[in-house]
Amino acid sequence: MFSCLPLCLLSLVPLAGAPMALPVPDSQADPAIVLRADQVIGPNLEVLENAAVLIRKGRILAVGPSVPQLKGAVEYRLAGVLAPAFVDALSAEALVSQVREGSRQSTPDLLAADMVDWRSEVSEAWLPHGVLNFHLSPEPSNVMAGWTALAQVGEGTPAERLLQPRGRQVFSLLADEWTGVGDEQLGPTTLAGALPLLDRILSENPAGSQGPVLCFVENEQGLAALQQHAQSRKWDVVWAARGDVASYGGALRGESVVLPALTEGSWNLRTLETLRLLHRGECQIAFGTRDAYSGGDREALRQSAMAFSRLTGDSKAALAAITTQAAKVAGLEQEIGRLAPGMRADLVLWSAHPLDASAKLVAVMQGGRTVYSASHGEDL
Amino acid sequence: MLSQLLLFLAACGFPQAPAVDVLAADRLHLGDGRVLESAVLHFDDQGKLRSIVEGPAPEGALYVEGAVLTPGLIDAYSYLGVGELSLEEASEVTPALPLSATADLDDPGFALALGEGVTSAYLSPDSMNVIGGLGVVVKTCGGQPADLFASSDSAARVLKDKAALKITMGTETGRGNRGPWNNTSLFERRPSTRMATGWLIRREFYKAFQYRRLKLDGKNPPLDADMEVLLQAIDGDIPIRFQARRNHDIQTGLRMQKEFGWKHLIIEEGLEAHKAAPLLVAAKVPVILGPQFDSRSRAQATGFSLADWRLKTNPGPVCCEHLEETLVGEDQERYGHDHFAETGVYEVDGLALDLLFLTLPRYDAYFARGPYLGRMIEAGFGTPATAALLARQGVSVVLGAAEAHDGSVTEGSVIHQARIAHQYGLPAAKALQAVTGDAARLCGVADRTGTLAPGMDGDLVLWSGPPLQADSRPLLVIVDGRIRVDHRSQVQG
Repeated sequence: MFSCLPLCLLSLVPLAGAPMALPVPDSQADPAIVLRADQVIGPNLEVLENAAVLIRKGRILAVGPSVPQLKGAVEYRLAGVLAPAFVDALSAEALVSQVREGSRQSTPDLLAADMVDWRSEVSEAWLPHGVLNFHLSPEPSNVMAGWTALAQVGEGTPAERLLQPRGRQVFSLLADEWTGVGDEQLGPTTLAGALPLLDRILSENPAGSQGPVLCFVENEQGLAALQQHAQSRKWDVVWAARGDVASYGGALRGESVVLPALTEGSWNLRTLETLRLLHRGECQIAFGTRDAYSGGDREALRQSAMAFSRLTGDSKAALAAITTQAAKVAGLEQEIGRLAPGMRADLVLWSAHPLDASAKLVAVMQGGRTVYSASHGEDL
Repeated sequence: MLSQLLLFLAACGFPQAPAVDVLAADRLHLGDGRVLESAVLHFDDQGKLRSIVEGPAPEGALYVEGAVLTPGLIDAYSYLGVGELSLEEASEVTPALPLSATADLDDPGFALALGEGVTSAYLSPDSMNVIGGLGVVVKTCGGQPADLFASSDSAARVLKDKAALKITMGTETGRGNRGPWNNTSLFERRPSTRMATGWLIRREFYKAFQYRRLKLDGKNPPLDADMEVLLQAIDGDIPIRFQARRNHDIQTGLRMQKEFGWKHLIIEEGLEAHKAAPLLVAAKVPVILGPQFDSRSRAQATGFSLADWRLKTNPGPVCCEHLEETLVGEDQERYGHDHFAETGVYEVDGLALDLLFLTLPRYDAYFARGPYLGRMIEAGFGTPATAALLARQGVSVVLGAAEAHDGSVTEGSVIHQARIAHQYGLPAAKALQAVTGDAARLCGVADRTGTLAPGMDGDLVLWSGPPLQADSRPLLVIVDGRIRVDHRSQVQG
């Protein structure tokens, strides 16, 4: 589907005239590459026609219609659209099953990073869908549940793939989860009992009470209580919205929200209208597969973004929901989620714009290395 | 379909509720027992009453001939918005839990209550816990809803937080509990008798006194929110609402008042309070009556209970199954299933019976399960004349509607409670006061609402006729000087 036309550009032009100041490549052993595609999704998720991405040492050095010509750089000509790899803003997919710690109501020191399942099967399942990054949370069963992590599928050692061992401190006011805790004689059983517990936990954990924070909420009362804490403690907060979001979404105006991805079974007028109204209320929305009704649907992220785009006419916000905004949720907006200088070279070549229903995934590059090629393509 | 359209319009942003400048009526109840004929009310731009003068309707005033004006009704005892979030079962003693933090102020019941003329309501914590928490007084509209699809000020809003402390004596606290020889799970370690309920109440107040002693001795005990609330309750800064239906429970409450020096005690749901009237008069303790008539359990009328419903609709084997064996063809169709002719009751079973329960309480109402079930158990001891009997003996009495607005049938709303109380002997003026001025005083919001006087909030109901008359309906419901409900076209055609 795409053609490889390596062109050795032995540039003799000094770099002073280049559009951006960049380090001169220091060794022939690690040559820079230039990927020039029909279209590139630029740093602000805009579509750049006939643009290129300059990559060296697994990082993006420049993006644009013209990029600095580095000595020894190899340019590849690609048919299709280069887009950032997707970020699952909240996932349980790559975790092993033991994520519920039921012995305490407050477990501020748990790390989701300790639970990551690094098996290659997980990678094989997700790479064909362009999803490389997973923001992982401990089970939101405890009022203070622990820390999120960001891990990648694909290739590399666990150390290389764990991009964020401590993302956000997780708070949860989900009643269903406490019922499980309640059976083990702990309580609380309802929000009424959880709120005073939350107050106590926060007063006992001064370190954990400073952001960034991820809060699981399912109703207006829990949201209001946590919003008060967020305001008084100046949290950098993201809301993991659960339950009937419409019933409390009016209070999410302007907030950063992670919604369960739309999967088969969760599509109805109310969910879609909720999404539209949240966007109108200037929420920054990201999608996560966690708690989506059928977690096995690996196209869910892209399809959710497509639905979002169709509902709102805002294709940038829609793509952001599974790229830049999702990266922000993970606290890694300077690393992943967009094609911009300084970011990791995690990119996906699509046959068309990724929110185009006809787009097919061609290849995935992780840190400047091709880790997946669809059978209808060739190695990058 | 219409409601969906309205929701859609609501989402698009309704214009603000229209404000009233001048309102005139042929008859005006002030809420304190006084009545004015032909009165004119002026509102200020804050929606408060500026003046009330007697006289004919001036030009340009909002006026409906023959209509009667009352203060906005106050439901002094309600479970509106009290759902599954508000009952904490990990402990049976939860004094410091504020209901305001967990009540659902978006509950559609508030709109139903508003339509029945209820402009303010005291929301009570559930009665499953021995010491249940702190109730809250709300206005039934004007709050910012969290619901994405709701119109901008349709939610209830808090008028007075921490308005009373709920203590429950009676069957609810012990319901379904078992002794420790069985499983001692979180949900089964409550008291199982009235004695243990009483002991738990006493234990907590003894602890409160110890806590106070430590503070007075300068020992600086760690701050205990529960104990702080109990101390405020002892001192009367927060009234104690002691839910007690049976005579002996009421007397327990009065004994505890003496033991612990409770300065401000209110008996809630005093079903048998008339039997303790002399004691209540002596202790100057007012009574809030639960519903005289409850659209679901019809408690005090001793009508169908849920259990009765089951019995009536699914009466079990009867004598005549053999008919089906002997009759064939057309005869079997004609006679074989004529259960009604045989027994005088309709047979409802299987799916039909399941569907029947859908017509009973709403989901969230089901979770506010304490009072509803307890009242069913204790209903047989009541009489709809309790209010009249109490008033006659000099006990201050106020009426509440409890779960009247949890379902779409609002026949149990407070105006109907007042009508029934009046029907069974409570003087009309007292019956109206019991849902306006007296209710406001008992809820601690008499400075804002409940009576009509300059400076009070502009909360009023314009009735199509005398408010206690069965066919009178609210034409207008006005809250803070704005028309929230306008039924003029429906009622007057």
